[in-house]
Amino acid sequence: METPLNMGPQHPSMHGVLHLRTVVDGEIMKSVDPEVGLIHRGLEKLGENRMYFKFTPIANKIDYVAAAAWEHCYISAVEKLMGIQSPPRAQYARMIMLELTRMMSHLFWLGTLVMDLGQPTVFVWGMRERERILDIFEEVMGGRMTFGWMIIGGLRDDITPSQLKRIEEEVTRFEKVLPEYYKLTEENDIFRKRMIGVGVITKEDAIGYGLTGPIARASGVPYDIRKDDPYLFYDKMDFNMITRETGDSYARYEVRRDEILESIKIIRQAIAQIPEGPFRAVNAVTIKPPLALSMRTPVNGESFVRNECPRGEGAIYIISDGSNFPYRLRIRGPSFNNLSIVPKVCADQTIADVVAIIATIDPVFGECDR
Amino acid sequence: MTQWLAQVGEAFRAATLSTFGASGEVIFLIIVAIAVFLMFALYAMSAGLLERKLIGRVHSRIGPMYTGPGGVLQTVADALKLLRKEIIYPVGSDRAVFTLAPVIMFLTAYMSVLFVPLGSFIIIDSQYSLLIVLALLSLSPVAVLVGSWASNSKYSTLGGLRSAAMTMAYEVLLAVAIASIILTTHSFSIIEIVRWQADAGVWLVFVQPFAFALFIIAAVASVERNPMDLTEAESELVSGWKTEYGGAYFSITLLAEYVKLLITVILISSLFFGGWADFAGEIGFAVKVFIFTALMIYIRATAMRLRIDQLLHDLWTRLIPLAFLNFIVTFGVLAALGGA
Repeated sequence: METPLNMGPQHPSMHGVLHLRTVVDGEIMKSVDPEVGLIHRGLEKLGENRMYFKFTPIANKIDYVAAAAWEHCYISAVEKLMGIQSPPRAQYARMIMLELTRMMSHLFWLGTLVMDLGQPTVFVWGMRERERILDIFEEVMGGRMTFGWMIIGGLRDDITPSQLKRIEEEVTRFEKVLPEYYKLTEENDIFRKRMIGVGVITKEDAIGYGLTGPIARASGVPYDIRKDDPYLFYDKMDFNMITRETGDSYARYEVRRDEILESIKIIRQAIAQIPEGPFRAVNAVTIKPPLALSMRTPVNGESFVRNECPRGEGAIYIISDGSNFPYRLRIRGPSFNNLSIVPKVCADQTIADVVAIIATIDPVFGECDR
Repeated sequence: MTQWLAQVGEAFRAATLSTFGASGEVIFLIIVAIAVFLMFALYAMSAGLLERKLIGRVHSRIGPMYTGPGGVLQTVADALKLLRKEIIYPVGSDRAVFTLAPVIMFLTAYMSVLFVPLGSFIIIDSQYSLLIVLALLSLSPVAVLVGSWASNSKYSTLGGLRSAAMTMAYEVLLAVAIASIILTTHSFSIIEIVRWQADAGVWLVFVQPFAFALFIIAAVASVERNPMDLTEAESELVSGWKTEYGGAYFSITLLAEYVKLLITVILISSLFFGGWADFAGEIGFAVKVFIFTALMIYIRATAMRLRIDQLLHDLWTRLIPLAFLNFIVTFGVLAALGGA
């Protein structure tokens, strides 16, 4: 007997405020229709009603799990628009923080995935490790969740040698504790049973639905902005693009697991290579007086910047008409496109698998609904 | 210990009889029933606390710390909170049946306690105690189905249906695993089985290792804990069949669940690990019960949830045939020994 069943937005396993309209036949979900937009905040319009530097705190809230990634995306778009080049030290420091953000975000994802599979231990462990990364964020960027650390043309505060040392130590420690997680995930029979061969996304679908990030790479699409359109100093870093061919939930797990290790590699290299020098360009937009400097406006023009955010390709497109405010600010979040595969990949799966598949897609609704 | 309990009981009975005259017997029974109830409430609360503390350790947390010294009153506070809550009936639910389900569930658990030995002390001594306990345990999924149906909620119904599907499988497994033990010891009585182990000087877990493994799997399924907590799978069905239950009803189901856990753990330690008849007597039994309670909690802390089709597939096509094989081999060996 087929019956409609509403899952979410108030459901223990729904990430954020996802609402699934489903049709259930016993244990099988015949169709799944995701409803998004429940925390639409009009971020693009907010950006169009502010001076450029004032949007930075809001950019942090686009994806609150990986805030630094979006902060950088926005800041680099404005820098490109204004023709300001931030100094190499700032760029290296940003790169270190972006990779830490990626590690933290993937860890959070792993925890919620295993929680959706019915076991909170890995989630709490993930929180434990994430806490240490947040402590670093607090020390370096002055905030735990949202930062406002990057400014147009550099950084608010320099990153100190002792902070770099601490990051290196934490990363080394983190590498040592990771095998603990593997014991409860990939070495666990039930985990493998629940992940392998479930929710297969083919390469054609991944391209056709515009999937980006770890999901696309798990389906065998070699697409990583850090490699294809390098920003910061990613072209100088030696790291691998992780891809898998199978496209099932387990492949998505493996891709993210290995990306954590690649991030650690990048952080190590960046710490070794970070040059001395200024952390702020001479023409950086600061909010200290004189205020005239902070109201610096770009000339007519537009800029488009895309970054490899932890969830996929995040892009910011700004059009300026030469005034104080952007004429148009467009945010492209990966979660929205990644969710578009849900009706296809979740149809005719069991309830338990639908929950697991959505967990591997890893949507964040701040960024999906914007 | 047992003699002391019996003496206290006798003295108390004499006191009530002399105080209340003819109706003394009834009053005595009521008081005993309440005492037993309180004892199990105490077990449920301490097991709940142990669970939260141990899972806290596994999570590298410290668990509850603020209610009472070291958080020991946490479960008491939880129980009081639940009892004070308003009872909410879902729209369109069948109120009478909705109320009945947790009551049936609790009663079956409570009744099975009467037949389970608590050390050498047993409230109702029956020759068929093992069978009676199994029969009463298998009644509680009926209550689950009744309650889920009466809740008028899709999540509840799905949880109840899962419970029904699972029961079919694990009851068979439980029964067949037990059957080889009954065959080995020639007895349906838990006390007799413990005595058999004392006489033979060997724990049944060494005689029947497969039966033990199968029994423990079926036991985890019957108390509906990870990895077989599909009936209340939180991430899928909100709370499964319990979704609509709150307040006092919820606390009753919780109590029934812990009583079931206690019965299972007592069964494991007396059927397979010699019960109270070997070293350290009753205290050794208490230690065994504690160890297996902790084992159940650790299983919960580390196992993920199976999918219903995987679980049923494994139960029906792997474990139940294995259980039957074990039964047949036991039968063959016993026949050969008996013939020799």
